Amino acid sequence: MITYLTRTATGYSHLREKKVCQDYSACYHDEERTIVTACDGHGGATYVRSDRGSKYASDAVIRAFGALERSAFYRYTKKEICNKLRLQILCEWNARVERDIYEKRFTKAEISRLDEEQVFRLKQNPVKAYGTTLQGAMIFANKVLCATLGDGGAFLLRKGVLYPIGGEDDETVANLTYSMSQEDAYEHLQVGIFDFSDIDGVLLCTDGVINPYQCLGNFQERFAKPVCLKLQTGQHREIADFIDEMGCKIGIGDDVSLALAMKSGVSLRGYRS
Amino acid sequence: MENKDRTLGEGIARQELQLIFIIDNSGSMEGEKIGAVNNAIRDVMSMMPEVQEDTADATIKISALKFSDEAKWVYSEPQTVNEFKWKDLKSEGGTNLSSAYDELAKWLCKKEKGGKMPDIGGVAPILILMTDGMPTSYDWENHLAILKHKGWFKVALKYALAIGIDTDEAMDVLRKFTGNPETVLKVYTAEALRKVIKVIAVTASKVKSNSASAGYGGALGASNNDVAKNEIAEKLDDIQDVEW
Repeated sequence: MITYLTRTATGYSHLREKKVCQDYSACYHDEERTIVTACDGHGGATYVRSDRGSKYASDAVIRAFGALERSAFYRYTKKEICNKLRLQILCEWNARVERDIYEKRFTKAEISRLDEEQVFRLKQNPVKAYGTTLQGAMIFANKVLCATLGDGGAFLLRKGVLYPIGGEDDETVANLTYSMSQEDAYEHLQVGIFDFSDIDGVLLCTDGVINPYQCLGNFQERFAKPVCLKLQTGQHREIADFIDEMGCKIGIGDDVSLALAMKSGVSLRGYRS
Repeated sequence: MENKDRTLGEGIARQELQLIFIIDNSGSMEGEKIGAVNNAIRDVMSMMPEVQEDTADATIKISALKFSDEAKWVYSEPQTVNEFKWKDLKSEGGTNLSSAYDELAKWLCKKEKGGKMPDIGGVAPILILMTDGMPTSYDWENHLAILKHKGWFKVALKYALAIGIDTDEAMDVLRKFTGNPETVLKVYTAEALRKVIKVIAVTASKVKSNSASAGYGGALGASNNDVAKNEIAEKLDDIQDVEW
């Protein structure tokens, strides 16, 4: 049995500037699989449709992961499955974005804050307007499948310890990150498959959640452990309220998204201080 | 052993913005030049508490690296605007820019790797290099190449102030540091130097700390540095004896 939660809240800088929330999180659950996502649309001036970009990234993960069949694990190697999923996620996302660009031309209001050069560049490459990161995970067939691109966090949970998914990259410092809208997004999108029997669950978040903690140890002790404890003890409301508060009051001003999925009834020993 | 649940909301801090001065205090800076640098930094520091008060988005931290025969940090850790107390630099020795680049490269690593930058998040730092001549360390380009590989250096807002420099060769050293000729400024008088340092340090800190959270994130290559550069350029127009 899986217990799960997703929550997104608007950051106070977006509230202050009357901007829409650019994060998006979602979940899908049926009798055989649980999928959770947390995606972060970029905040830079030219990313005028990044709120839609993050939603489409979330949809792309759910569609690609949702279409995976159990038999795939017998027919293909892990590497082949990962490569197919990377391609499917990117194709799904690009198809949604291109349809959106075709159906809904950029309005004057959308480009009103851009200078001439930015408008020119956006017209040359409209996909850029939808720039977003992507974090997604599926618990299925006693496995955890994870997809990650860009900053934020994707972690496996085991006995109260966080295990980051994806390689560390010194290039992605400050607010700069890899993006679904980059031409070489395929190179940066990582998909991994892990055995669920050794793992308690998976935690995904956008950088608005993780950055205020400044280092991984602090994030694990002060955020991940108490949140997992609350999830296991049914305190979903408290987690949601805290995420809301982090967005509008105590965080760094950025939008915040959390997605968490865990086995029900895991030992809580490692999650206590 | 303690066995209690932690409360959510502990351990949260604001983003950190570092303002780093890299100051040549070699023998050739003696007299008016080093005096102007000392005065300028004291001026800047008198204004920084106000800049900090005006922003809720980031904590501004100040650092200074002096270099002559060797490079040395004035404080071993970045200091808040209230902690940083400027002690006047004296000038002596050569211009070992290689040593300065080495120290900067170590500083601009994540804390978990022995540096001074946050492991997660953080705001691209502001680097202001001030010098009056050619480096006396012949291999400075090799050391700059190593520095340029650091992610935090790549995203930094970089300015270089050429104090009374006239040769193209010496200007090239500074252009290679910033990677942009528009952020290398020739300064001819002590008064202009004082004003320029103040404009860059204060304006860049204001712009970057106020847009530290959600306003300017994006794919690699995009940042709020351009906004800061444009504001600085406008203000520099009013200062005489500066050329860029």
